[in-house]
Amino acid sequence: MKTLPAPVHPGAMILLVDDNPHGLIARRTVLEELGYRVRICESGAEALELFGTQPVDLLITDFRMPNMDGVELITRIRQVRADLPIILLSGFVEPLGLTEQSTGADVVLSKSAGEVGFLLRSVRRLLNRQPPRKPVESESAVQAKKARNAG
Amino acid sequence: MSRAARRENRTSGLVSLPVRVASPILAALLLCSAVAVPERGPQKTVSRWMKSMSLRDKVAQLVMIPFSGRSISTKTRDYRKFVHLIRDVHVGGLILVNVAQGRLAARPEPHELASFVNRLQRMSKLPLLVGGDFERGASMRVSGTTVFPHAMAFAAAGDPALTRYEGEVTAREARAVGVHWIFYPDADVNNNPDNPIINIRSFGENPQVVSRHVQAFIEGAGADRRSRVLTTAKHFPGHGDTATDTHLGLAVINADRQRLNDVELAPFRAAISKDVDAVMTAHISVPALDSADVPSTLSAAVLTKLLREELAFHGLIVTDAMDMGAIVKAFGDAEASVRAIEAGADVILMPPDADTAVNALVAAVRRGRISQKRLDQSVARVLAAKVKVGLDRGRLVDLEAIDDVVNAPEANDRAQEVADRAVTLLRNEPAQIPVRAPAKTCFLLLAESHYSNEGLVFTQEIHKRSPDALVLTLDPSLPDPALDVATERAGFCDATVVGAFVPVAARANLAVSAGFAKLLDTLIASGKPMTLIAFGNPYLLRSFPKVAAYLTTYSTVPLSEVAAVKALFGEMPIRGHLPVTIPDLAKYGDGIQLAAITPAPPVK
Repeated sequence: MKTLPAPVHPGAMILLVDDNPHGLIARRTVLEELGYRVRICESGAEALELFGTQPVDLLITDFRMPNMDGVELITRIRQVRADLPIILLSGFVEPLGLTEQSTGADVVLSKSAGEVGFLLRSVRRLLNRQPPRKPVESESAVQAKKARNAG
Repeated sequence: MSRAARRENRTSGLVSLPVRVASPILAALLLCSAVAVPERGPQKTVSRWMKSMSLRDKVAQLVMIPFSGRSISTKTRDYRKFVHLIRDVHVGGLILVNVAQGRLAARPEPHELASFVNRLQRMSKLPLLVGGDFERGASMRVSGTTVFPHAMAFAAAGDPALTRYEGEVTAREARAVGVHWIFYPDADVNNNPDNPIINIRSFGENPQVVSRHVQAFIEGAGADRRSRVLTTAKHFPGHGDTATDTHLGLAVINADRQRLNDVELAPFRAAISKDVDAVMTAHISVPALDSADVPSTLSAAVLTKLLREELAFHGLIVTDAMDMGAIVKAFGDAEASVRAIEAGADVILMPPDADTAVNALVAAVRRGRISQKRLDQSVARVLAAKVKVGLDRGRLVDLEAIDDVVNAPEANDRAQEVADRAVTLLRNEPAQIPVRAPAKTCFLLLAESHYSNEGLVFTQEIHKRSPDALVLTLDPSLPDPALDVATERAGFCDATVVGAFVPVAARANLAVSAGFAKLLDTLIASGKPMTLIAFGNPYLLRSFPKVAAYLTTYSTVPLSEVAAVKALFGEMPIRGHLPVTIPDLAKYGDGIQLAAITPAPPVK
């Protein structure tokens, strides 16, 4: 039987936030099919609560949601995880002038024809980003390593 | 290219082997083996699969259940029903249908569809055969795929090479989203202007022309072994000469046998000569072939004697949807399924309740009403079809390859070419086309319903060329006073162009609403120049025989709106020919030919 190509980041945890249940289920089905783990939330508040308890590798959020919109959610999440890859989805990208600069998302995608293809490529690209460099080792740590190697 | 796609390419590389071999003898041996292997392999696989099947498993393989392609929560009753029918009952396949979202048909997005199909495929013991009718390309059921016009537009364009191309693209896009069986081409000869359900879905009224297009589509769909699909000629023995929608009740064809041979059966013969994979039955009665109260779907005289024995068709016989009024009302779910298999069908499409159909068929075999041999014949055909499309080698779709295949720009260009070439001008007195003064012309669009997007593209295209032109989109839900206001406003313009959208859809007649008819009659009676464009049903002219200029596109897709505007502005030659007769008004083959007079506006 033909099998699917392995995902670039098998098991990466994606948090999906949207107040439209069908949109959530549709995107979850596609992302899970590619091997990602997906958690879904129907509001920003629910997402913040889950974010505090679960390791998340990437966030995909809708823009227009009641109580807390996508940009506010991004702002609050950036306060605790500045480097989290985030994709913002909206059906009003052009009318509202939503951009990466104005929203704080890494990628802003329009909910239109071809959205899913763009979404999958963006997910792959963002998860592919180089991990942060190792912190520069302190002088004492370098000495300790030399000592271990010599021993 | 993804790993999955590379693997698929390796499996289809047999035919290229002899080319690389230097020795002619070795080449001959390899060529022989290349031909022989596909003959032995499928039989072996089918036998292996059949050995592991119980009576209930076998019966279930003959049943195809509907699904919308849209993801549903695993907690819903609908999802549990899928799990039951696929994992427990072992149904043979799925048919993609659209569900209503509000008043509109909700079509799944390609990745969403493919993901859901993959999920269901994993659930199934044997690979599922997934079908869809895809009558104007995959776009009929799947969003984000190439939109082609309806069949009659291809006939009006008059070039089977375009139909062949549609077959190629449809096959490619179908396989990309996990669909293996296309319930198309339509082989019906639409020789009845009052046919409420075939109409523009047919390639017209000329059996030879219909045959050529049917063959072209089959050839195109089979052109690339990497995207092998099953094709289906429908609706046997011909649904063109009916005035009843079989979604609602039983239709009758009163032609004698000679007429059937010469007209209705000709495209099916042509399809069979091109090795069409399947034939779909019609829920119509044909007294020349069987009793008047027996629909062809349930008639041994039609399916076995005529189709299998006389026409020597050895492929799959699939019923039309078994939940349609013509069958359900008269026979009920269980009895209809048994009678269809008894008559010679292999696949029961969309029975109202799959469990009921399977139980009835199992009981019929146990009681001897259907023999084990007869059952095994149909099961073997279904399983062989699965092998034919490579489901024994792989059943999953590569999601990341979808965007490389669907909605390709060159396919969209060719589809637009079909719509352009189809535009047919049947009247133009006085010469109203090309439109002389667009800014002083009123454009009225009569949409089929309040909820459709019809006219949107037409409006954009008009405003690109004439930003100040008045374009009004009206719908049947508007009250009479609103239509009166529109009529009055049109009266202030020097000329009027009215585009009427009359699509073919189950449970709908092929006319405009009473309010629209009044509006049109008033405008025609005013004596001012008026052009009527029929988006869809070309026979609309019969309702407004006094209209001075009449243009028809044979399709309601946006491509046809673009084509109509290009024709109105003289940006392309008008060269379509009418592929049907409009009684007393236009002959088969009519079409005023006009040269282009002005280039299209630059693309922004």
